[in-house]
Amino acid sequence: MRRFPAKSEIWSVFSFILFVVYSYAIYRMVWYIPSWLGYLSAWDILIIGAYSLVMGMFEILCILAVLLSLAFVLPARVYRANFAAQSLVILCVSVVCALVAQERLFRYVQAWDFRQFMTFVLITLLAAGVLVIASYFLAALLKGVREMLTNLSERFTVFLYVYLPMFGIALMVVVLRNIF
Amino acid sequence: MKPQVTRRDFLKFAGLSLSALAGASFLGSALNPAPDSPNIIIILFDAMSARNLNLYGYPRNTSANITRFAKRATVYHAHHAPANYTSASTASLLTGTYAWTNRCFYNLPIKAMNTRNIFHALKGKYSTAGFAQNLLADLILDQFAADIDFHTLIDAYSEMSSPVGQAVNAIFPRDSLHANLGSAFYFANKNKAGSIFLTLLDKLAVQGKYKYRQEAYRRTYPNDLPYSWLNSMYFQQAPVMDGMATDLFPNLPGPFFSYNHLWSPHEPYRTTRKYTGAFNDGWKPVEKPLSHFGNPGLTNEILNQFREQYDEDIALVDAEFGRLVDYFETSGLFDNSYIIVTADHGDLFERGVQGHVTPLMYEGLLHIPLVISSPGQQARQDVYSLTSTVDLLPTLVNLSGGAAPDWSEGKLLPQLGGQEDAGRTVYSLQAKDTPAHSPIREATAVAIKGQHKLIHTFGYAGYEDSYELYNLADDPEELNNIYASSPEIAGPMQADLKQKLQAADQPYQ
Repeated sequence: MRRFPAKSEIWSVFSFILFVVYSYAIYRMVWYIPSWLGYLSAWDILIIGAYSLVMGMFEILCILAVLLSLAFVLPARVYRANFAAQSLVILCVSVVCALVAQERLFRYVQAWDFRQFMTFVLITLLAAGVLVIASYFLAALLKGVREMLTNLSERFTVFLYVYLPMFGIALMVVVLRNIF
Repeated sequence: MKPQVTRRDFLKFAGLSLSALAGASFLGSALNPAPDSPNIIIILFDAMSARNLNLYGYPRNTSANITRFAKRATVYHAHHAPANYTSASTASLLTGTYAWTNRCFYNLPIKAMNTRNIFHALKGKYSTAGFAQNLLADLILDQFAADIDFHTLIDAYSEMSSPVGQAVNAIFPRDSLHANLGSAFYFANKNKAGSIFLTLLDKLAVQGKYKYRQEAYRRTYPNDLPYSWLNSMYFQQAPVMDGMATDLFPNLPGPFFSYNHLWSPHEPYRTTRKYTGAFNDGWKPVEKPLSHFGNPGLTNEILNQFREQYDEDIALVDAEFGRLVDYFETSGLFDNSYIIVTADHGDLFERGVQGHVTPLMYEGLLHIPLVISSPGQQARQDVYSLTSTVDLLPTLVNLSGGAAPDWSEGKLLPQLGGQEDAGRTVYSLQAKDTPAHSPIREATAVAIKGQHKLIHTFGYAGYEDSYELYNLADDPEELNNIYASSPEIAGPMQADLKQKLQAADQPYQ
């Protein structure tokens, strides 16, 4: 267990991921609701929302698992020691990249051959490595930035009180619908 | 203390219990069919226009095997789709009603037709089976899950598809409709998804797997495999037909009703090396003027290239269908089954429009094939009177020994219990942007009576409402609008269409 970050830091990072993933999913849902209302009842929309939140929690846990794996593998000084602050940097940059990729990437991927595709995967992995190192320089070496990010990450725990009960209800809806 | 029941034991028990429950429910509800009733098999080719089949007079030889099949079948020459897109047309086929009744303008409203559909109507007499490669059609099958004994997964015979889609179907079989709608939103392929990262990984996983084998696939399919972007599914034509012949039909307890909605020749049009360039023959269709809804960039030359690819795709689908016809012969299914070949809508390659996502409702989109082989039929019959997709449900219920339901808007098909009716009107409607429970304010509505076709286009922003009237016998290419010069024909059709639309809107005013 010593290779993992402190529980409070994991909790902060989890809160931040939860905030980002759920807020974005709910924002998208609101965007879709007018078209859903075209053929779905309010109850159907709530059920779809429940499934989305359950799938969202899977995504959150996957992201957290990746970050924890990095913390486990990398030397403590490089990542684990400032887990919360560095994770915030990594997540913010990754979210922006992912949203841009959603918009543009697949126009190109279709035309690539396997070598081009693997080159893209390797470049992405390299970029991820660079991002971890950049986050180290930004958050670990600059004390002011680190403190600001750590404080910020702690603030996000407040969203746990909103989003975790929502997840609980969503999970209950999904489980009940798949039992009865 | 070690628990007596381990987690593994619990999971095994839970799995067995669920299977037992599912089995009990299946045995209790499904199969009590009359053993001598003929099977009913529907093979629906998505986006296959009758206008591009030589069976219906197209100059290119795209449909040799459908023509061979027709030698022992009834060919309906004036069969029309009730819409120009999948959801509405499929809903109409499965419910025997037009979109203004089933309200499937975009997707079928949930529970709208849960007891008024073909599976419900045939259940008890038949074991019922559904297979749709098009996600929009598969979602409709999900809605009717209670009446479908065997629901083949959308990607059953595919090379690869979304891992998320596979997982959702595996994890939530009891609530597949809502789970798939949730997943369609969260991992959306076409519009913006609800997920930030997993949607990317899902698509990259499929693409990576595909790219790894791309060179091998390109030896057969030079322009890549047929692909449905709705669920990131790549597939080859042969395994789909083989899957139905060796896995699906032989395992259905008879008599069975099997609805099979195949993706091809839906775009992207991808054919094998054998058919690539097969129609590079210099032939050019009649040129048509650019529509208000057309794209000026899609010149006739470009549209003809798309048409060529579409024809090549149809030729491949037809060749594969030929192997299925051989199977029907050797398996004896021709002798004890009604086998129905049809489509949900066509595709257009004219007036600046390619495909079927358009307000236009010209014949390339609405004139679809309908060929029905009755048990033991040996000679071809031809029916030239107007028929509609909504006719299939009452006809099949009638053939199964039941009474055609009074809620269906269709009529019994001629030669299959019905009479030719020269005075009949069939309708089509495109109203994608109309909410299910609102009046129809933006739409293209069509009425066809005898040889005349009236098109009413209304409510589109920047477009003045219009009527077009064509004489399909004299002007099959719909180039000469006689609306203004033929008020005696247009007037009654216009009044009839208006009355239909008003009646449809009345509950939602």
